[in-house]
Amino acid sequence: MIDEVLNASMELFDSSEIYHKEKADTSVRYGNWDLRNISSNRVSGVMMRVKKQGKLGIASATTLDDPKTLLEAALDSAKHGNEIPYSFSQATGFPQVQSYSQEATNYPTARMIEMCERAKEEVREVLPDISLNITMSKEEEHIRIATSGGTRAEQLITNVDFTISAPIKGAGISVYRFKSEVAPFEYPAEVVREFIRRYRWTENAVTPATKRMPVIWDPVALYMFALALCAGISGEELVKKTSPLMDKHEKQILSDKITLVDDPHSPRVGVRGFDDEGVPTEKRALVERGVLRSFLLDLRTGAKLGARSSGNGFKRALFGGGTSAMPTTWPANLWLEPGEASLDEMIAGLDEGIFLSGGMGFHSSNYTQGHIAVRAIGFAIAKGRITGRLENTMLSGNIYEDFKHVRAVSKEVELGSLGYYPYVLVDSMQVVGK
Amino acid sequence: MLDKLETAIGSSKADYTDIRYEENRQVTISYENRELRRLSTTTSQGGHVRCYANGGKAIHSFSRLEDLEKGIKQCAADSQIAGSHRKAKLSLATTEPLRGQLLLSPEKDPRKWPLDEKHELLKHYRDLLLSIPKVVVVAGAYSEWFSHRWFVSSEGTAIEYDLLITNIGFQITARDGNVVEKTVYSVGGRDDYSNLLDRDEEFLERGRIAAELTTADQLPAGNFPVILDSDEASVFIHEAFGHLSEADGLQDNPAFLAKLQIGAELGSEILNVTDDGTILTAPGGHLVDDEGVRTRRTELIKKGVLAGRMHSRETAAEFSEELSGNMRAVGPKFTPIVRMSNIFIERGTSTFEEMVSSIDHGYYLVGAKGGQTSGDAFTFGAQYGYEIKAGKLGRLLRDLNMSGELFETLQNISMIGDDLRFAERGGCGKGGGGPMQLNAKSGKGAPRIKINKVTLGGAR
Repeated sequence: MIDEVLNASMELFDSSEIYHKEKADTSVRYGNWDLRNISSNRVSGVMMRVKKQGKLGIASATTLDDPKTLLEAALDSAKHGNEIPYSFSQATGFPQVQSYSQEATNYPTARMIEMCERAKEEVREVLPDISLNITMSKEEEHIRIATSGGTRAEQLITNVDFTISAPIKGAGISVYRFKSEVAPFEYPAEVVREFIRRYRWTENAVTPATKRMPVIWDPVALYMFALALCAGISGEELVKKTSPLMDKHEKQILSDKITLVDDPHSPRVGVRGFDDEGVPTEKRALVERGVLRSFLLDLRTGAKLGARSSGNGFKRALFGGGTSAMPTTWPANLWLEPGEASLDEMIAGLDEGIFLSGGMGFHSSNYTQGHIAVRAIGFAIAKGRITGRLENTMLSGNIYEDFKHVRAVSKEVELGSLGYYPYVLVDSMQVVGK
Repeated sequence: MLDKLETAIGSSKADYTDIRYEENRQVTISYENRELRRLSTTTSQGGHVRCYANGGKAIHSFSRLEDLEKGIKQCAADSQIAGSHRKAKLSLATTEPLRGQLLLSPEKDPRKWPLDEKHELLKHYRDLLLSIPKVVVVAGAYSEWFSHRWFVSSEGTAIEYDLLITNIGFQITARDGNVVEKTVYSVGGRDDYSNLLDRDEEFLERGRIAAELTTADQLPAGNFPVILDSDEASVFIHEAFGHLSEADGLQDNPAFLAKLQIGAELGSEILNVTDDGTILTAPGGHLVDDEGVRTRRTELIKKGVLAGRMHSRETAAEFSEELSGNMRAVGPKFTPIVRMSNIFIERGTSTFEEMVSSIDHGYYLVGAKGGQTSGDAFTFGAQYGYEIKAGKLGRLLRDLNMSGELFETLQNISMIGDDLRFAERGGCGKGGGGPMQLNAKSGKGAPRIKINKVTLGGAR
């Protein structure tokens, strides 16, 4: 069907691109120890970009079933469109990646229920008074991109997820742990164990003193660092000339303990052989031992900067995104190189500090400039031990100042938002408490 | 369409079934400076099924109308499996079945307005902003979202209804040397085009402030008294209190529910908070929710005391409380969840001058910049602020985020202004246990308020 629509479009336009995504998922959700619902979805979306006399036209639809309406909408849009300096992808070869498991597609709902029930019973034995929530889901995505330049990109992606969480009594936040894999996995005993350990840390509420102190960043909190940095190296901010890293290429911008690689090819969750514009993805260092090595470009920002796309055009957004969104520059799948330390050693080595497992209000920080001001979620550390959960605490700073002084990076690496990260111990950041 | 859906529902083996089908149309014109990034009219359609059986619940979304019957079968079967595992059986509060059309007929209907005029209006505001010295990037968009929906239930509801909202909004970036600062401003928020017109002065003022911020000082960190402008106060009541008034968030959190029993004293006598979806001139106005319950006005806090909350049929039954018509979905891929419609702090009696003169050392925070909440903890940013010293407004400040605990902060609201305003930009993200739903039709309003103490996380 996608070829038929593409062929029809070639009679109307100079060039065209069709993005088609189908998604099927099932999830089982437990709330406060009880099965809240079973959810299933079978949905799709199409977006078409065309060029007519150099001008961009855009149209989107739910399916490819009505090509006439789709093509008419694209034609109408192109009448008003701006001239665009780029061509749609002409790539024909893509890196092979392991993103699909037939077992995930066939994974039965009954097995998901069994897994949740088992976790429930294990937690109930030790924490019977909490309000436990568990969600288990499987998802299959089928992405196809075809262009008049000859690109035919196709990828099947599966994911199986298990998330366990519980609100902390008397506090506004939850403790949560999760596991996500391309294929089904055995009962995640280590995830449930770590959830129980962390929930027990929350018994006391601690408001630390207002001063600078060391901060251990949990992999799931490092999205704040990653989003701020990726805004700085994004084609979007470079084109607008508002990036704080405009003239920092090949210069030291962070601690030499930080090596951040965009790695969409190693077998992990989030792998991609091509971006959402049908351009092959690349594995490359963004920051190597603290030195800025490369930028994130898509077709549009690459052309504006006189460079080629680095395969980083994705239909993502801090909020929103999705099939009918225009691609913007995003990392494909981040990998922050691990170090030698362990989380427990980091905690044991601190006389005073905080262990940051999340932040609230990141998006209202001036983060494109590296600035972070958030309500800190996590734990207080005193004399090498966790003393309780943080309460009434804010954390503020700037990644380009604070991440210049990294004391240690852990050997453990975990999945977070946009990729995989170790625990990172930053020497000193401003904590606002008492 | 209603006949087709009613026939299909007859095949369901669940105790209760409903179907919502939507056809949506979105007009987007967006610019980054003089570059047109997008001009498109996109359409989408699809549906959503909900089934309850033996006290269990299942939901299902589909894109193709041909998949409807298969979807109902799957959903009904899943609800039976859910019912066989569910211990505390779910039920639905009773509502009168509705039938017929609930359609919008705005005076200046944006759906009928010429595309070229929309385009010219956006360019006009953009050019004004680009004329301001130091302003380097003006990114803005005209957006118009129209959703036509059909809803039928196995209890006999069969309705056809509309949702419509327009906005013009800009992010304005100014630069001076290495300092880059941004402000945002939006107008519209209604189903009527007229609210987008003649807004030059407001855009210009917000643009000039972006330029001034590049030489402003950064806010210090610490605990201070603050005055929030109506935009900031409306984000506060939305983020910090509003989300805790959505009953689905309390279903799985008994510790919070215990704190939030009707009759609980939450603030001083001057505080009154209401959610009112019948105000069609604010972004959250609508006629009926997505489970066929008529929209209404719900008093949430009356004289400082918790008076009510927002419900779905399921939570109203579980809590034995009144239905409120707040169950809404942003599109066919989503199940409805409990959402605020137009939440606001009711008008008070204090003037701005009285508030400023009551503060020895504090800050006046202006312009919402997004917020986030989890339980009773909240954080949100301000676009800019002013220092207050010895009862007088002083220098301009930048890079501000504030944070606090709801219950303590509500008690600390000591003055409420006499100048109630509704924000014209909706927008609220909530997952409610499922994928994030960004709801443009979410309104909020407030007068200026004074809070005796909040934590400011400044940049120094």
